[in-house]
Amino acid sequence: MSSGTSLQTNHAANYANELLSSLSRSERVDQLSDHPAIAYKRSGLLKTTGLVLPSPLAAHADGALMALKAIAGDKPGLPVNGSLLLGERARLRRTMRKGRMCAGGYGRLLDSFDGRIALNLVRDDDWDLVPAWLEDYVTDWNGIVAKVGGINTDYLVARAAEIGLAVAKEELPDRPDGWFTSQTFEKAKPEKTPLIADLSGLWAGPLASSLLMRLGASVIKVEGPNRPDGMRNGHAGFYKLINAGKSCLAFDFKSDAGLAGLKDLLERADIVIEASRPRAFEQLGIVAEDYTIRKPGKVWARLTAYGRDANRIGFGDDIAISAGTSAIMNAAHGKPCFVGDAIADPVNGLHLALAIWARYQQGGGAVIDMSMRDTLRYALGDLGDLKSTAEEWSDIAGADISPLYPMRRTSRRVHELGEDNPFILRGV
Amino acid sequence: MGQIYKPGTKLSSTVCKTQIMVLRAPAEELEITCGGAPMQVGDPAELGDMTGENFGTLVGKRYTDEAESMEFLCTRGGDGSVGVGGYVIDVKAAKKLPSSD
Repeated sequence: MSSGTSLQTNHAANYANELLSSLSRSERVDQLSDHPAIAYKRSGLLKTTGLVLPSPLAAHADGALMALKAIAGDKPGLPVNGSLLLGERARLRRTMRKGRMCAGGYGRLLDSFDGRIALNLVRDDDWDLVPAWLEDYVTDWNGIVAKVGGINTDYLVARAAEIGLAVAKEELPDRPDGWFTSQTFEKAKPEKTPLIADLSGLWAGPLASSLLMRLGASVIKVEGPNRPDGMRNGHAGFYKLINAGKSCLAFDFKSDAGLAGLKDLLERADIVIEASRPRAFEQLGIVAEDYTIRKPGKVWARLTAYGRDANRIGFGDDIAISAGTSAIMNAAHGKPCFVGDAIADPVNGLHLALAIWARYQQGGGAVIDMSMRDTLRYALGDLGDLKSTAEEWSDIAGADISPLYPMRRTSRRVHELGEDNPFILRGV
Repeated sequence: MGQIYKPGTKLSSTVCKTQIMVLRAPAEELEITCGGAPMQVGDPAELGDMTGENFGTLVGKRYTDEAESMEFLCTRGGDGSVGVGGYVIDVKAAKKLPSSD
C-alpha cells in the first residue's frame, strides 16, 4: 500500500516473517507497508474506537496477509491488505463504540467488585441466563451494573462459563509463544482444489474459508435448517463479503439422515473448519482426530474462544477484553474500552486461513486448534511504553489526511440456506 | 416437601450424575425430581435407585415445562429425566445464533 508521502515501516513484514518461520516456511517478505497507526486509521479502527491503540495490531494484520500471499501467491480476489478486513463490518454498518458499549451494541464493560469484565449479551436467549448468572432476577442493564459491582471478577467469570454466557475478565496476559497448536497425522499430496467443509458461523471462520476460496478451495458452508448462520440476518452487504460464492448445505443433525450426511461430508472434506464447543461434536460422536487419521492429508481446524480445555464461549468483543485490548487502552489513555468491532474475529480469521493453508500445502494431516484469545494476544505483539507510544502514534494518525482503504466488493452471489442440498447430497 | 427456588441454584440428582441450574422458576413451592427421586443442593454421598421412565439429560441443554413457566440448564448430564410435580421437563430448542456480535 504505497501512497507517496505516507509513513512506511517494516512492522508488517517482520510479523509476516515471524509467522512464516513459525510455520517452518522458507519464504520471506521485505516490503514496507503503512505504519501501524496509519493502518489503524485507514482501516477504520480509529473512527470506530475513537482512540489510538498503541499496539501494532493493524500492521500485524497486514503482515498475516503478506505471509499468506508469500505462500499462496497474490491471487486475484485476495484483499489488498490485511488490516482493511478489521474495519469492514463497522464501516458498512456505520457503528462506533459508545463509551463502554462495543460497536456492535450488545457488549459492555462493567466494573466488578475487584476489577472489570466484559459482558456480551449477543443472543436473545442470553437475557434468560442473566438471573441464573447473578443469582437474582435482574432484567436490564442498570440492574446488571448495580449487581456486578458487588461481585468478584473470578466468580462472575466462573459462573458465566458454567452457564454459557460470554463474560471476559479485563486483563493483559503475557504474549504466548505460539499462535496456534496442531497435532500431526499422516500426510498426502495436496489437491489443487481442496474441498472445505465450513461448519463455523459469524465472522472468524467464514472469513478464513472465504480467503481460502480465493486461493482455489471449494467451500461448502454447513448450517442447521433451524439454525442458520446468524449473520444471514445481519448486514447483507457484509454477509456477502465473507460468504458469497460458497455452496450451502443444511443438515438436521438431530435426524439420522442429517447426521449421516454431515459425517459423510466430514469424511470427504480435505479441510474442515469448525468453531463449536467441544461437547457439541462429542454429543454427535464426531472426533476430529479419527476423521483426520482416516483421510491422510486432511486438515481439521478448530476455533475456540479460550482453548478447548477452558470450555467457555466467547464472541469477538468480549474475547478481545481478555486478550488485553481494554487494559492497553486503560494504560495508554486512562480509558478502558473496546477496540474496533469484534476485533478478535477478523484477526483470527486471517490467522486461521494462514495456518490452514500452510499446513495443507505441507501435506496436511493436521488437527489445528486456535484459541481466539491467545491468537489475538499474539497478534497484539510485544508492547513498549504504552503511554508514549499512544502519544506518538496519535500524532501520526492525526496528521494523516488520506482516505480510508477502499472497501472490498464482490460480484458473487450468496447461496441460500441449504440451497445446494439437492446437488451435493447426490454426490455431484 | 416443596421449596421456592432462586435463579442460579444448583441441584443434584440423587440417582444419577445429573446436575441442573435453575434459570427461572415461579415463586411457588416446587418439587423437582430426577429419575423419580427429589433433587438436592449438593451432590449426594451415594446414588439411590432410579424409577419411572428416564431419557437422560444432556449437559448444556435447557429444560422447560410445557407452559414454559420454569427453565433449567443442565450443567452435568446423567441418565435420569428431570420432573416437576410429576411431569417430565423437556429439552428446549437450541439457541438461535446471533445476527451479529
